[in-house]
Amino acid sequence: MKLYGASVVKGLLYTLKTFVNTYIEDFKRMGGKGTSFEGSRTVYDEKGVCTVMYPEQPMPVGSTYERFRVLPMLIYDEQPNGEKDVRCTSCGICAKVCPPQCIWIVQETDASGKPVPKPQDFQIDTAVCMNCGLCTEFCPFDAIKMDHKFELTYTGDRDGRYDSYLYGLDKLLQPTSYYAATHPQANAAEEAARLAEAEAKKAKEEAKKAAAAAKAAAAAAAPAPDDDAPEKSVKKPMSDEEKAALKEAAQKKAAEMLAKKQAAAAEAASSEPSDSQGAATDEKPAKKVMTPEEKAALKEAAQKKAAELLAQKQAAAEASPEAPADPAVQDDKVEGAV
Amino acid sequence: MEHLEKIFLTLYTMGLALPKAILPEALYKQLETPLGALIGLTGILIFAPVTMLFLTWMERKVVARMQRRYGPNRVGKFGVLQPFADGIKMFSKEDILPRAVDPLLHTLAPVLVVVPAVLLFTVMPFGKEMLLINLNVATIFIMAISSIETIAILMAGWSSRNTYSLLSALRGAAQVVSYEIPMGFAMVTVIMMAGSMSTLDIVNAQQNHWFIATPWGLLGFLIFFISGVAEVNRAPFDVPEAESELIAGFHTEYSGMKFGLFYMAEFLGGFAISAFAVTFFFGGWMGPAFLPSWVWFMLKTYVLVFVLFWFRGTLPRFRIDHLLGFAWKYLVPMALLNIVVATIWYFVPWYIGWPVGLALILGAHQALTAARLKRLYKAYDRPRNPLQPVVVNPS
Repeated sequence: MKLYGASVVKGLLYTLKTFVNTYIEDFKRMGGKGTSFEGSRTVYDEKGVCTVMYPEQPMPVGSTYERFRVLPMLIYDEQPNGEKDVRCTSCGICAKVCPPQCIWIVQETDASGKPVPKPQDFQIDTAVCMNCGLCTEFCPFDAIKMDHKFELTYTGDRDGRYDSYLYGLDKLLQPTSYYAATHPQANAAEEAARLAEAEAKKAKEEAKKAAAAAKAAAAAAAPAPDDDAPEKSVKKPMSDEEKAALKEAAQKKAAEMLAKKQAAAAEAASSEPSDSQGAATDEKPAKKVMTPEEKAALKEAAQKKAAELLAQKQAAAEASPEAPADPAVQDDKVEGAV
Repeated sequence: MEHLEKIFLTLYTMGLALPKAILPEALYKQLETPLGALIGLTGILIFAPVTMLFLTWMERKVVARMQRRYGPNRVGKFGVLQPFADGIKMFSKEDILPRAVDPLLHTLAPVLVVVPAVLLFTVMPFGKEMLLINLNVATIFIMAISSIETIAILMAGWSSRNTYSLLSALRGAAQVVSYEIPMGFAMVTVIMMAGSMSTLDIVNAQQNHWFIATPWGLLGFLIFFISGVAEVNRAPFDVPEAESELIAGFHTEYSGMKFGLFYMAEFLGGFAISAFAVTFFFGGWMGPAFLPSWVWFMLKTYVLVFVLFWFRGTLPRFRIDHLLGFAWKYLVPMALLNIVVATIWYFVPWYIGWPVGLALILGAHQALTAARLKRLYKAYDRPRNPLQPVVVNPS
């Protein structure tokens, strides 16, 4: 037999639980962040007070909703001497793709009137901008990015309103540090890609130099036995230890570059092994007859292959820590929030 | 501790020292009682609005937390100054007297609604030797005074010339008339066991054990408190001012501080009900001696005040017919049964009194509720007309 009125007590206990839980959660939030007792809600949780203390402690958009986008901004790199190195080259692609046509760019000219790849003036009519983000999609220099500032209300005089909605360079320019703060994930990915590109460029140059040196060395050295394996032939004619070291350095650079590339494009990694194997099988018949020049070329090919193999290994090694990297970031976030 | 215990008594004697020094002996002897009452009343008139200010803030905070909000937090730390801001707002608002109203009744009603609420404080034993008037008919006084509020509500509703207000006033009258009866019966058990109607004697009778620790005390408290909540028109019995049905009920046409007075009466009534529940069932100011008696009284009262707000944050409003049905068909029989239980308790030792009392109470509760629910379901479960086949006349 059921006791009548028990559900009333149940309901009362539910609200009491809510009442107590809000204080417990407040206490936790205070302990975590050192904010006032009526702390701010930073993440959604099911227990505590769900009020966001908006003007004072707004919900951080950046870490939670990184791809949130309101109005573009222009990124500049902060030089050590305090100068602003604006990434924009005033190529005008953003202005061309902008659907509501709200971007105007004036290219800078030097003293002689020659155009310089810098914006002299860059204006966005924010009253027209529809926050589609196409400009950022098309920018080849990562120079224009979507911002997170959504509090755009202008409270000044009526006549100044339209001017205030026309954003010039002064309002659009933001340092890279700001971008890194608002878009941590996107910024990290872009930085990695940029670094890889720079490394690849450097490695390419060094590889060229090394190849030239190797050529010269091969020409100077005595002809190596024909039946040598290509891997061994790499080392044998390298009488000079300096040159060997140089080559290895070049190899490593190339390997790194490839690794980066492969890390960036995961699909490429799967097709890579078959390619190298095919190349290896092709090579064997060509081993029999060799002029010193051919040998040098072969050496280079072998080197590259070795580099590729290395790269694959590295790519595999890099790919595996990448997968748990995201959850780790999220974990950090959750901990920080609590 | 001794100073804290006696602090209000000391203030009282200090207040009387001045006229004693000034007035001649004979005149002072004559005026001592009215002067003392005047000082006590002054204290109450200071205490009541301050309590009301605190209660408004507390209610908003408590209910907000139950709804996972912060409540007022802009004015002062944690919004403690919010009631003062509200007060300033109310005082600075225009005092509107609608053209159609009866000006005398309309103006008199808010005054009449606050006066009984404040008067209730005179027989409230705040602590040891902190009872302003030891009235030998205090319980009757409480019942009588708290009923005056109904007249004030009727005046407000009638004089407003507003259909909503009138409807609300009639609802309020019906409600208070209904709930006075179980409330009175719940008091009767207390009077029976304490052997006195004076609040002081009732508290003293609980020296050994509080009345809440008995089956009749438990039920009596529940009936008294529920009826009390209904009598001061607080949720879930706030049908007279049901904002979703009647705008604001009887104070729809009031503005400024007149409206504030209605608000004040409601909160003071809630406080008084909690305080009298503490007096009758929770041993009044009794408590371990490490705290002054008046602190114990306040603590207990505020726990019950919290329960009032807890009800408001939890329970949905009654429908008016369910409300009256609950009073007449459940609370009144239970209160009558409670008198029987109290009588049994008086004659038998506690180890018989408890099981017998509990069995009687629970049995009656289940039987009454089951019968009532059966009738309710029957009313909703009436047979519906099945679709009749349409008979076409062949001709």
